[in-house]
Amino acid sequence: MGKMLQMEDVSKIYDEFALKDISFSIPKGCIMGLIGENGAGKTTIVKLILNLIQRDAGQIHVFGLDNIEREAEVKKRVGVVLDEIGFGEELNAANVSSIMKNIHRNWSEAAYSEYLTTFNIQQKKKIKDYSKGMKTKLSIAVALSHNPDFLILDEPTSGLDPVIRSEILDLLLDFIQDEEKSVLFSTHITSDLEKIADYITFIHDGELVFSRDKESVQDDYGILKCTMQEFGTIDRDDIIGYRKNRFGCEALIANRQEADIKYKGLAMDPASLEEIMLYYVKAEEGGRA
Amino acid sequence: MDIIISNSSKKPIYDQIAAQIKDMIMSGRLEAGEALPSMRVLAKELRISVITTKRAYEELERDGFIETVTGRGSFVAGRNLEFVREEQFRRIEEHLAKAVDIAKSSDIRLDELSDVLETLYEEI
Amino acid sequence: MKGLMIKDFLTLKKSIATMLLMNAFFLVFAYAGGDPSYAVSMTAIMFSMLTLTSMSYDQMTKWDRYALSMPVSRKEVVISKYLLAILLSTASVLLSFTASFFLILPKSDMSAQELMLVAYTVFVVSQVYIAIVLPLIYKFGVERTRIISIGVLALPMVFVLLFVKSGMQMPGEEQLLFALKCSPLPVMLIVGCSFLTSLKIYRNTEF
Repeated sequence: MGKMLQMEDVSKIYDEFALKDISFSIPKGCIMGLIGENGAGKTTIVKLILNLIQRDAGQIHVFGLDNIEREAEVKKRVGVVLDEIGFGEELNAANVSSIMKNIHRNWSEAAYSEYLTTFNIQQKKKIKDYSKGMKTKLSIAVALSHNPDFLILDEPTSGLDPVIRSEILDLLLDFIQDEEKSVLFSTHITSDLEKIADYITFIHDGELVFSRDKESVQDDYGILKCTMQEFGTIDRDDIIGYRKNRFGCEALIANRQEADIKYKGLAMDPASLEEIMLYYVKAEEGGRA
Repeated sequence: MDIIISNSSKKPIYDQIAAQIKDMIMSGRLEAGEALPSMRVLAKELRISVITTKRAYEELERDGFIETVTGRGSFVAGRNLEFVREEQFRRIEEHLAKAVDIAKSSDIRLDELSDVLETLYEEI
Repeated sequence: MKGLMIKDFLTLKKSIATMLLMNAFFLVFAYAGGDPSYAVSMTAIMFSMLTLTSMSYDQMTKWDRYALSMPVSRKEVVISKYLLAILLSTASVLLSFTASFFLILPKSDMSAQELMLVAYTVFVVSQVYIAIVLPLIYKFGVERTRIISIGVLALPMVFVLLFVKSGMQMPGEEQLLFALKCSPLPVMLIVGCSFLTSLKIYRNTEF
């Protein structure tokens, strides 16, 4: 079965930042979460997939098609939700439909109306009177109404309350009930991904740290808690990053099952995605021996 | 069909699901030939990854409790159930035989051995 | 592309309404002064500025980034903007010319032919304006171009002033008429080159 997205050795170089040799793929029928701190390169990756910016090296294939050579074909089947809705404030939901049905050949007015009803968005209300949550919901309605196979969302839930976030997550779960569809969800709100993601790709400082299924991430990574003294006895190679406080030390371990046996007696907890992100960043700031 | 999972349990989620379904099959609450919810629907309802539900179903299939037919879904295994139960008993006998062996060779009495069995059954 | 143009017109609805209102005011002034050419020229200038407004909106809402994530090519985006500019300027010239023709011309001592010449000249100027301003916007953005565009409008006036001051012979009426007769082709060429330049810039722009 082909992959939804395949990125091979993709690089993009700016003056002050570089995305280097990114390779990962997204299978069909799943949700991939893209995590990383602000400025790590998540949005750059999304823009490279959409050819909004030019890549300096590597290959990107969506539905098995080269994303530059077959750009139009790819974009017909991709639904995109960015952090800001592109439509002007003076427009309303009905206007958006008039515009979109002339851009997408398979725009479904029926589907769009249904989404608007579900989201409680009035046709004639101007976008400038929308709350942030409504703007995001409109973006999602637009993205879904031309029946895409691949849904890409870049930080769609920032600034939204937990209730709306939960509704959006439910929508995404609904979307992938069809095994031929996938979602790429880039965010720094890792708790959302903890719930619904199947795979996690972690980008840190322009580099790929890992791209693997969420369950194995949760199985393998752990937070070791110990005293300063005990910390001294731990093999430095086992630690990714650590944090010292007045009463002890916490360290991120990449192989919890092994470490449990190796450092018997020391407290080990599963690590959340947020903690994993934090400790990788801490490793840079000298939190590494 | 009720499935309850706990995030704070030591047992991995796929294991919890598999165990609960096995239970329902063994106790007859799920009958032979009955359709199970699809992996995707289960994942969506429980709000977990479809990879997890897939793993649970794979384990159930490996142990002979269910059968998955591509395009049609997963069903409680039919005639095999009796054999499965017999097979499980055979495995238990094997393990217990070893325990009895150790007990006898170290002079541990039957009632002491039974106590251990009882404690374990309650704990796990 | 149809979708893009619909979006532009829907977005500019209010602005166009305002412009039409101002057009009415210009007509009143023109009527009072007995000078029909006044309304025609002022309207054309105002409508040309609408293109700047449209690009400005796009920049603010990050529309380009969003549009290009859809099956819309960069070429289509640029074409739609040129079409918009040409349509708006042409429509405005025709509109104000027609209004001036029926309402003001009878009152003034200008001939119909003279008014037509004025209208055509204004049209040519507006097309040249578009040709100069659009690539500038694509390269430098709306704000910086706004400042430059005022200069662009002022330039012909300065040029004429200097010309007069220098005491050189003003081109005769016949020569001017001749220039206007030949103008369609050069104007199309200028707009064409402008389009190609804008397209090249836009193709290399990252969003």
